[in-house]
Amino acid sequence: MANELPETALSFHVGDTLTLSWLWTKANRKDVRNLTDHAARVLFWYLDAAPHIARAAEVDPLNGLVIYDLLGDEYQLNRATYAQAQVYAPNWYVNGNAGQDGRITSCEVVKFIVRPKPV
Amino acid sequence: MSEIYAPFDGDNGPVYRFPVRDGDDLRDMATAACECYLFDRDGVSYGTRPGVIISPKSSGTVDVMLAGREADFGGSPVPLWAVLKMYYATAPNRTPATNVLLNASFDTATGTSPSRIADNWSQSSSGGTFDNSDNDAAPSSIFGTNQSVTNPTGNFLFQDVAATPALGDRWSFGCWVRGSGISGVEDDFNSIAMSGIGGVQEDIVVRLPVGEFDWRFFQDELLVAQASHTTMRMSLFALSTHTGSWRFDEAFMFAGRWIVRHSSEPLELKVKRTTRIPKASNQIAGFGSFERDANSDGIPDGFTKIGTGGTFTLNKDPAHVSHESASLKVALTDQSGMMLKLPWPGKYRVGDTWRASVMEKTVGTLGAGAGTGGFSIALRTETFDAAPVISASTNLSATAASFTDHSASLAITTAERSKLVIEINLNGKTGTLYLDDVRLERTVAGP
Repeated sequence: MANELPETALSFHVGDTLTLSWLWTKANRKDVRNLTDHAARVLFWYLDAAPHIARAAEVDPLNGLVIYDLLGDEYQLNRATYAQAQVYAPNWYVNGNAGQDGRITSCEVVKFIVRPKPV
Repeated sequence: MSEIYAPFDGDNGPVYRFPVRDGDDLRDMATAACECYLFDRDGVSYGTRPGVIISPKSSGTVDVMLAGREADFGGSPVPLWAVLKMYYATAPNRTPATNVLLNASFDTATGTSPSRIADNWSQSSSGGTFDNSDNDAAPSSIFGTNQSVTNPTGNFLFQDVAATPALGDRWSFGCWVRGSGISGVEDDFNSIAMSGIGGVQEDIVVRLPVGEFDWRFFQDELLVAQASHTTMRMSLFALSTHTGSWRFDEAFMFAGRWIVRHSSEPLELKVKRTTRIPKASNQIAGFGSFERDANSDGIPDGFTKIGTGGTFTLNKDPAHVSHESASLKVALTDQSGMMLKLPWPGKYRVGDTWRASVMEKTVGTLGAGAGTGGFSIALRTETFDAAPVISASTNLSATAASFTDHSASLAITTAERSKLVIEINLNGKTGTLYLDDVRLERTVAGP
């Protein structure tokens, strides 16, 4: 499910099994950023609430993707859910040591509208 | 044209990348430096950040990164305004000057700590701890390897370059420096300096701060007023009798002047607000549960292994999982100096108490060994982070038939810190254990 209009909310239905992915690019917004030795996590929260889910996400380093499989406890029916992916980088400028210093970069917040499953 | 990546509050990854141009051409930044001054809309200073000139420096591209503590996690972010200050080493003919120092970036060195000295630099005497490394604590090394010095007891580093400046020539020098725990008051014995030697010696000294200071660019120039110099010398502190730790990087010495330019208009960095994990909850949720190992090296994502030995694997047998769907299985063979390390940036205020914890389960009873370094969970601050290091630790168990919680609590004192480091020391034992659900939570909120 591609969202090429980030200002538009995504919608899905209860029961859907979804894999979400976030693409990291370089500063030119065209080239894919290599996420080798990066760690990632995804946060989920409802409006004006603290995150109720914070889980590790899979990193596809050469394709610059952070990938997360929904488990079903991230959202409630008819309640907008917000999600944000973060990556924690190695030491880019020197030796690429994984986890050293942990530079944090957050992705745009995505809003989900959860609808009842058609009967 | 420049790229502004609008950060979220708490981010500290590169947020602003810009090219530096001389007309239409990208400027060679090999002999240039950049500082970024941050303010809010009321003019309140949020400190200075170094501009990282991207390699190759001829590409004329600079990154500016936030520290990640400009806004409090979970609090209100602030729109930040950045003013860039550029230092261009300029020769008398107004072209980029040539840095006459060799190994000016301290990229290569000889020897081992406490006597590891950058190549082409010399010690004035002996004593103190000298090292050359790329593991700058906070932030990560901004320009690659740097020269570190601790408690030099009068010893200092210098480099001599053969030169015959004429009367009236201008020579300039500069260096990036950071310091931690520098004792005493500001004086010439805690400084960087440039000297004309041969004939009547003349010196120009730039004093360094005391206490704690982040990476800052120090520079000055000398109007040559004495004849017959045959050598120009750059010294990393003239003769220090202070105690503390310094780091030096990107040294410059050249015939010419520093041309200083500020960006014409402040740049607005829109800091986006987002929901953050409450401080009373687990700050490292998503990592401390050992769910992922992207590069299959046995070390969970986000964690760094320090030292050697032991066998680490991600375990998904539910019988040995305490939280979520995986844990970390560790086979120990009496290690020394080995740990799992997780540094976590944040805004840790004076009066806070923070708790690091881990769930541990052993397979039978672990055998005792002679390895050193402890078998514990520890929580500590880092050097170069506002004040001397403080720490707390709690031993793990040799026998834990079921997952058992172990925690270390640390009261933040002396100064606000920007990073806490969780260390799980796994030494002096043989056998197998499982670790899971590492947490970092605030248990007491400071005023």
